[in-house]
Amino acid sequence: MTHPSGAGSPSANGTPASSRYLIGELDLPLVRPESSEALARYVREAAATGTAVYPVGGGTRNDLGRCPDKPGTAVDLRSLAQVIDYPSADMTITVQTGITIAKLAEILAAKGQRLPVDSHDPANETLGGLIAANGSGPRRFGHGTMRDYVIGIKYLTDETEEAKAGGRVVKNVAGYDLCKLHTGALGTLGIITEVTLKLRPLAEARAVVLVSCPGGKLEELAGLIHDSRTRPVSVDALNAGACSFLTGRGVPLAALAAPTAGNWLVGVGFEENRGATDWQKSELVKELKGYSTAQLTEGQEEGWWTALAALCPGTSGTVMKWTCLPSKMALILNQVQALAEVHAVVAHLGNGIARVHTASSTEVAKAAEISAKLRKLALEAGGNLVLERAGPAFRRTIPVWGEPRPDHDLARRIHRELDPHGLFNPGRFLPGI
Amino acid sequence: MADSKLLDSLRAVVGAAGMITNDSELLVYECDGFTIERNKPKVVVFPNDTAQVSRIVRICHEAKIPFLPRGAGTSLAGGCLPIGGGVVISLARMKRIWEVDTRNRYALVDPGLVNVWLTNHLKSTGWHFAPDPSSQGACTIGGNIATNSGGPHTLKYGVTVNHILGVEMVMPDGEIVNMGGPVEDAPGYDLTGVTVGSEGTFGVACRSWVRLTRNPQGYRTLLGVFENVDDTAAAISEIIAAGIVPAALEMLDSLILRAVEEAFGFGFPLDAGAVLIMEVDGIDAGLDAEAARIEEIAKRNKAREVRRADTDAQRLLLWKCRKQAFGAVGRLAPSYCTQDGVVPRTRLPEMLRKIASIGQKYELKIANVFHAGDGNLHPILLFDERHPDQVKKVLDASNEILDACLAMGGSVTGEHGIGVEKIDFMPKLFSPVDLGMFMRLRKAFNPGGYCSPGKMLPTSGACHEPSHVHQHKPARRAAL
Repeated sequence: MTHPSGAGSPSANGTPASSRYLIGELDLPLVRPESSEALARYVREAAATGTAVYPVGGGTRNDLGRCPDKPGTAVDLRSLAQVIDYPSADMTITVQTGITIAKLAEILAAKGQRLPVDSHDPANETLGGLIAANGSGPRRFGHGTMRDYVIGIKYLTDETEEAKAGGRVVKNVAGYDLCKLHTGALGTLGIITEVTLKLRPLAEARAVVLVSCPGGKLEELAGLIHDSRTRPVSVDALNAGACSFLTGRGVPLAALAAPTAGNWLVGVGFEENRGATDWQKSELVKELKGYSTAQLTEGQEEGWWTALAALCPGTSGTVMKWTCLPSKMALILNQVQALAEVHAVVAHLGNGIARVHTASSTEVAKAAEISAKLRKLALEAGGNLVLERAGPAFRRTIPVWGEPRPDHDLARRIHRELDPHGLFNPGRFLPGI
Repeated sequence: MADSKLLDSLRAVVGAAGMITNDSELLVYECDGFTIERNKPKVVVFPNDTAQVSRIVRICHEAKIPFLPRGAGTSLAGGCLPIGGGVVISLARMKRIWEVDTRNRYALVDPGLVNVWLTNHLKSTGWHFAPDPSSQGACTIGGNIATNSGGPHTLKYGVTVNHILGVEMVMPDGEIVNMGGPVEDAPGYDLTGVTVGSEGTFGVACRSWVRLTRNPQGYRTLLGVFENVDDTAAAISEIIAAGIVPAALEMLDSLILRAVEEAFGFGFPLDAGAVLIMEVDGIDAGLDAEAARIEEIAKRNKAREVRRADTDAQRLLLWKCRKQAFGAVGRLAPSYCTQDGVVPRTRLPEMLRKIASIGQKYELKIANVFHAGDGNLHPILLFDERHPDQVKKVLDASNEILDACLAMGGSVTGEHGIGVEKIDFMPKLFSPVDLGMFMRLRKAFNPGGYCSPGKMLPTSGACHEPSHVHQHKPARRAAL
C-alpha cells in the first residue's frame, strides 16, 4: 500500500499492456471491442458459457469493492467513446460511456459548458466508470452527483439486448428512472454503453477561501459556514497530510501555515458569476473574523478542486470513506486525526462524507483496526464505512461495503431479477450481488 | 376473501371512522384530476401511520386484492384510478412533520403532507422544500414522490427526485423497508431514486426524508412582453444557450393572459402576443448583472418591453397568476384538457407553431402556459364537453401534439406521469425490450402485481394476472 502522493503518476491499472487484466486476485483475459456489435458478441459469449463480463474503463477504481471469483472476461470499453449528439444550445449531450472525463470536459468547454461532477482521475477515468461507481468530489455540495445529471441511458441487458430508459430531454417522467438505478450500481445491472447528460454552463468566476481551524473549533466553524449568508459549492476540511498532498500537486497553500497535528485547514469554494463570487468571498472572510483566513491564489481554484477530488479516493494507498450526518462530522474527524498511522484525512463537511488515507507502511492488521474503530464511530453517527481502496488481502477480511442496510435484501431481489445468472461484474458489489 | 370479511379485517386496523364503504361517498374516489376513466373502489381506508399502512397492505396481499395509495388526488394522468376496484389507501390523515433539521438540511415528513405546508412551516428558518408544482397548495409530498413532480423552478433546482433522500416504503407484501435516508451515499443501489416517479407501482411510500434548500438571498423577476409567440420562444432559446440558468422561465400566451388578467388584475398587456416570466435568484450581488443580460436578450428578440417586479408583493402576485392560470381557464371555456409534452428547448419555436397549426386543423382554441426553460409544454385545449364531436377533436389534437413532441426527440410527459392516460404512448417511446426491463424491475418490487395495477406499463407484468385486475379502457385519453 502506498502513500497517496502519486501526483501525476499513471494509475496502477492504467492502460493494460498485455491481454490479461487483474481485478482483485482474479486474472482475466482482456478484450477491447471496437463497436457495440463486438461488445454484444463478447457479452453473448459469456452468457452462453456461464462466465461473467467485467466492464472496465480507465481502471482507476479497480481496488473498489469485494474480490470477484467468477471466471470471465474483462471488457475494456474505451473504444466506445463517440459523441452521438451534442445539441449544445439544449445543454444536453448524448455520448458513449468509454470517453474519458478529461476528453468530455474538453468537448464541453469548447461550448462554455461542463458536467460539474468531480472525477478523481479525469485523464484516465471514463464516464461509464464515474457513473457506475457514482464518483464525486468536493463540489458535490453545490452541484450534486451523477444521479442529478444522467437523464437518459442505453445499456446491454443480461439477454444481450440493447435497452434504454429516460430520454434526451431535461424533463421526462415516462417509465421507470433506470438512470438512477444504474448510477452507482457498479455495472451489476447491465453494461451502460451510452448516456444523455444534463449540462451546466462553466462558471464565470471562482474563489476559494482558506480558514485555519483548531481541532476544538471545527464544529463551531462548520456551523458558522452552514449559517453563512454565502452559498458555497464546496466545504472541505483537510489535515496536514491532505495539505501536503495538495502542495505536492502544486496547489499553493502558502498563504496559511499548514495545520499542525490536531488542527485543520478548511477550504470554502465559490463558483458563480463575478458579482456573486466577489461578494461571497469577502462576506465569508467578514463572517469568520475570529479565524485566520486567506484567499487561495486567484486562478488556482480549479487546481484546488481537482487535487481534492484526487483524494476521493485517489489511485493509491488504503482509503476508507465514512459517512454521517454533517453535524456529527467534526467530532469524528478529531477522533480519527488522533489515530496513529493515519495519513491524509479530508472531509466534505457540508455533505457528511470523509475519507482517511492510511500511511504507506500500515500493516493490514493495523488498517483493519482503524477501520473497525471508524466503523463504530460512523455507525453511532447514523452513517456507514466503505472501503474504497485497498489491496485484495485486506478486502477479503472486512465488509467492504460496510454494515448491511435495511434495503439490501431488496437490492439483491432486484439484482436477481435483472441479472439472474450473475453475468455483470459479479462478486464485487454488495454481498450476494 | 368475501367482502364482509375483508371489511372486517380492515376495520380492525383503522376503525369504522377510518374507512368509507358507502356508494355515494366512494364516488369521490373513482377518479382523480383525470376524469375520463372512472372506477369505484370497494373501500377507502384512512390509516394514521406507517404501521397501519403495513397491516392494510398485508391484508390486501393475503387476499390478493388490488390496492393503491392516494394523496390529494390531483394527478392529471389517472394515477389514482382504482383499476380493478379493490382498496384505496388514502394517506390524507398522515400529514405530520416528524423532524426538521436545518443543520443537516433535511426534514422527515408524512406522505399526506401538503407540499406548501412544509414550506410554510419552514418560513422562519430561511429554508424551503424546492419542488413547487403549480398544484402545491393541494398536492402532497407522497404524490410528488409518486410522480416525480416538477414545477416552475425545476430549471435551476431540479425535480422532486433531486430532493428526496430516502423513503420509508411499505412493500406490496406489507413489509416496511427504509431506503436511503438523511445520510448521503448509503452503500447499495439508489432505490430511492428509482422509486421516485414509479407512480405507486413499487409499494406505498410513507414517510420520506426530504432535502431542504436555503432560500435565495434575492430575486429579480422580469416580465418580457412580446408581440408574438415566435419571438418569445426565440428569446427562451437564446437565454438558455447564453449559459444563464434562470430560476424560472415561464411563458403565457395571449389567450391565457386574458383569462389570468380577468381573474387577478395583474395589469398584463392584453394586446401582447405572449409574455415571459423570467426569474433569476441567488446571491443578491450577482443578480443585477444577470437580470440585465436577460433583459438585453429579450429586447434583442423583439420584446416590446421588459418590466420588473419591484416589490415582493408584485412578485408574489405574478407567481400567483402563473400558478393559478389553470384555474382561470374556466373563464375561457366550459372544459379544458391540459397536455404535458416535452421537446428539446431549441425546438420550442417549431413546436409552438405546430401546436397552433394543430389548433387550426381541428378548429380548437389552444392556450399555452408552460415551463419554457425546460421545454415542458402545457398546451390547454379548450372545448365544451357537452359536444361529443368536440371531445373527439380534443383527443385527436392531443394525440397529434404528443406525437409531434416524440418526433422532435421529446417525451409525452414532463411531470404529470403516464398513469393510465398515456399508457398507449409507452410503446411509441420505448421498445419491447425497454418495456420488458421495466416489467422485470416492477416484478422485483411488486411480484403479485396487486399494488397499483394497470398503471404506467401496457401490461400489469404479473405472471398470472388475476382476472379481476384489468383495465376497462386502456386507451390513452385526455384529462378533461
